[in-house]
Amino acid sequence: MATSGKQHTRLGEQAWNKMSKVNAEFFALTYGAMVMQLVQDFEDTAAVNAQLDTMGYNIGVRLIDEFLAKSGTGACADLRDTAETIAKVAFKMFLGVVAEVANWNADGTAFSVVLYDNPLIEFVELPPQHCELLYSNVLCGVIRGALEMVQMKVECRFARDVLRGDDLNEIRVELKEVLAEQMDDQYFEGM
Amino acid sequence: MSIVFMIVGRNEPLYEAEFGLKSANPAQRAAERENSHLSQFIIHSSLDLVERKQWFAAYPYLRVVDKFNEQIVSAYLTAAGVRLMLLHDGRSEEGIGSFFKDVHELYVKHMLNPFYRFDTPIISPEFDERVRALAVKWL
Repeated sequence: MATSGKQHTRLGEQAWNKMSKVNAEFFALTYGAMVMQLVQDFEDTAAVNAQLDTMGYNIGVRLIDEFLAKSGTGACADLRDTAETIAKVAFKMFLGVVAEVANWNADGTAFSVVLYDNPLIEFVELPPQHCELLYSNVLCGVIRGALEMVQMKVECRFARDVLRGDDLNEIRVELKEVLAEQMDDQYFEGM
Repeated sequence: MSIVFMIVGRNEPLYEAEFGLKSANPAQRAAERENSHLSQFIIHSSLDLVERKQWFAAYPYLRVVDKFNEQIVSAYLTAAGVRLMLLHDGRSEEGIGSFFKDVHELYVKHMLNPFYRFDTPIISPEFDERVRALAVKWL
């Protein structure tokens, strides 16, 4: 496991070097402005969280293609491999930070991605009236969307959030089912 | 003697802190509180002097802008027209300058928070805590 972990880290570095960069402050402020707009438009915090998740989902289903094309990782052998790839390669590639995988459940179907450093929340401080807001919920959506495109249906949620007073960010990922590759009914009708 | 610090926006005061309200004696503390209304009054009355002085004093630290009995008002002007005001009893100008500079930096960081709108009162407890730490450091 240790060697494959190193390999993931190396792949992440390589992918990161290949990506075009954007100024971190600009990125954080743009995301902040977008969240703020949602907060103003929806007012209800739960609706904002859902909206962020949906946005992330739409990003994820597109992002997975770019990820597979540029990162040089192949198909993952098992969920552990997938988890390491998300944390070490994908996060490094798109956000420039490395996450850790932790807290596997007994069945090996759920894990946590632990983010010590979240570039989205730079400068941010949640005011008391928005204490239920999941500011970085877009990340959950991205993971969910991306994994769905590779036949894995997962549930993602923020278990711990630095903005809500926890000491680190933890995204809980639970595998619900592996979708079987099958043809649509229309395919058979045409035959 | 307490020190009063205020951030004044374009239309209203955004933040206020009082340092060194330390007297153990409740009666004396009540008297100091009484004075704090006076302090606000002094600071507000010196805003006009800031406006006058901003055209010829060194920007952004305007140094001493007003005196009231033994109390002195120092001011610092940010580019957006937000004024940092400090009412004190004759501290070193360099120390106050450093304090203003650090608070300004803190203020700029606070402005980058997407939940804070420009020219609205600052209610963040973290900001308050940091300003107080800076006061201990420089004043």
